[in-house]
Amino acid sequence: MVVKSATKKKLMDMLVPEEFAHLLADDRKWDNVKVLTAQEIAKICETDSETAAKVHQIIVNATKSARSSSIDGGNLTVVRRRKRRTVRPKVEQELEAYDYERKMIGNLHEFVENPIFKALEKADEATGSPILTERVLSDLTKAVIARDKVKVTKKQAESIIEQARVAFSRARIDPHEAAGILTAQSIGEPGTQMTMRTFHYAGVATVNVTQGLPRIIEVVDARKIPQTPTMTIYLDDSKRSEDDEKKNELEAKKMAAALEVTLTKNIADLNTDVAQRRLVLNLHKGNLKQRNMTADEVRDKLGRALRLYIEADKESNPKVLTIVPGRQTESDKDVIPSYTELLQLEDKVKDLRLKGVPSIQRANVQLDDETGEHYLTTIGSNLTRVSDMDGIDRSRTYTNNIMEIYDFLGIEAARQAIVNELKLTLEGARLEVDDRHLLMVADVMTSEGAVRAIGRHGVSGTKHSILARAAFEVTVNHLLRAGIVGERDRLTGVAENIIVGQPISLGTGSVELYYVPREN
Amino acid sequence: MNMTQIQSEHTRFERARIIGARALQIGMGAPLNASEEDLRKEFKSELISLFGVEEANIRFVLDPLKIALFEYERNLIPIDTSPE
Repeated sequence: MVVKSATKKKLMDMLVPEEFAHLLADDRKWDNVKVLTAQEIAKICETDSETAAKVHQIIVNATKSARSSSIDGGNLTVVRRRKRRTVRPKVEQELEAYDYERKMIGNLHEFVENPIFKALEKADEATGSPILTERVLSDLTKAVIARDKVKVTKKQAESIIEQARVAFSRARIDPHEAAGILTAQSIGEPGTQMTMRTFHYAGVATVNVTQGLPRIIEVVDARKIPQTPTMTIYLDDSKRSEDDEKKNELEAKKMAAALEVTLTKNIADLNTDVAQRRLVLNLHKGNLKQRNMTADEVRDKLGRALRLYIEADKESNPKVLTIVPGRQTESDKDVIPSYTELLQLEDKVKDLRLKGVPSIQRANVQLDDETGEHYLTTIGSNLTRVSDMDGIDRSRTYTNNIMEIYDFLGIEAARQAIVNELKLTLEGARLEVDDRHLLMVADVMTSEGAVRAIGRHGVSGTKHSILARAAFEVTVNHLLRAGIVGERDRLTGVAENIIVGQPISLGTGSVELYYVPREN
Repeated sequence: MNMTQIQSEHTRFERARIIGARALQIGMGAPLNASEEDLRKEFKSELISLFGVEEANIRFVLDPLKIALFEYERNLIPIDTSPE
């Protein structure tokens, strides 16, 4: 009789006669067998009560011994089939609340205690309605110091403040000014120059990031994944030592190896042995070392990922690994896989991620010439996973993927990221656009709580007014839908007022006049 | 405009709107808030260039926009952007 089930095997291992074991295991699991009484056993096995009692005793003893030995921690050894997966220790880092006071002092600490700053601040307050911010006062102080003055008299301070207030109020935009149009023009005009001048990012080798107009379009379109996602990663202070330059570089290289995705095909040559129906991997020693991996690690990881037995030419530090599809343990010697199974396995093994953070294709160590600090630039971006890693300075980790920043850090961070990216790209093309225009773009894109593209699927498509939407694109559809639903148009925007022939609510159109009789 | 000039309490849109509305009233024959005397003094050279030295003191025709501006500068227009 062949061994049919695990339960039967177990019973036979306990020295239950095979014929009884066969009948008991039939249609029953071990959990069901061990609760059977002597009478039931007698019935099932069609035997006299004495033999049944013996079998019952064996089963009871077996369950008892297993239980008691596990209680007093005796010589029962728990055999795990595979080593427990080592879980990378997750670093739980508290999110710091935004502290305005501390941040401002951090920015201004140079001047806050300066007598010039104090004199200017006092003069501004003396005017009755202080409008100058600490930042402006700090800039003024800087300017005064740059003119080799150690202190200012009260009169001088008043004069400075008066002129600064005038300049400040002139720099402010009038209410009802068409700020969006100004922004569109101010970015649009330099944009026309951008197409004519192709600019190459020569600074950093091996990392070639999308620049120029394509990048601007990408940001403004709020693409899910940019054409060239890239991250800048700095190491934690704990990973750095002040004087040991070599060690710093080594740490950075180690981190790069940990980040970079390593596929099986990167470290081994794959040969499909069709005749033997097996897959042979010739591990590449040099590549393994470069990726900071060992052959045993590869074998272990492959085995876990594929749930197959991986045969090696020698136990430690193997060079050749052999995989047979369907062979799950070493003892499964007689599995004969089909040809398709073999090909499927090859495809699976080829692109199997053995190490690294998903979607980070490459990580390069860079040296900051000014600070002498080593940092990493990557091709591919995964902010969530990288931020989880130990030894990374999260406050300086950056990605150019705005949607990733939005998902991980929220809408405020996404707004800042839009400004940063636009600014960087414009600066890269040597174009000067006032920051306030970029802020306007970022605000429009993020004001609804999610990053919206500027265009049909985003800002223009989700306007409240039907007439404004109809004026933009697919006129009939919008009007028809609005008519069926019975929508209202409150005529608050520009396009809808032009359509109905009213003055728009911008500039002089927004002013309402009243007759105010004089008393005399 | 020089740098030291403090801005008026109206924005440039409000100013344009007030002066425009007042100029329209004057152009349609509304009574003036500024006295003829003051206006003659202000626009003397203009009246002379229009009518010659002899008739400048007798005849009185001016651009309504200029009168409105004159009135606005002296705060004589009873129009404002809020009911107060």
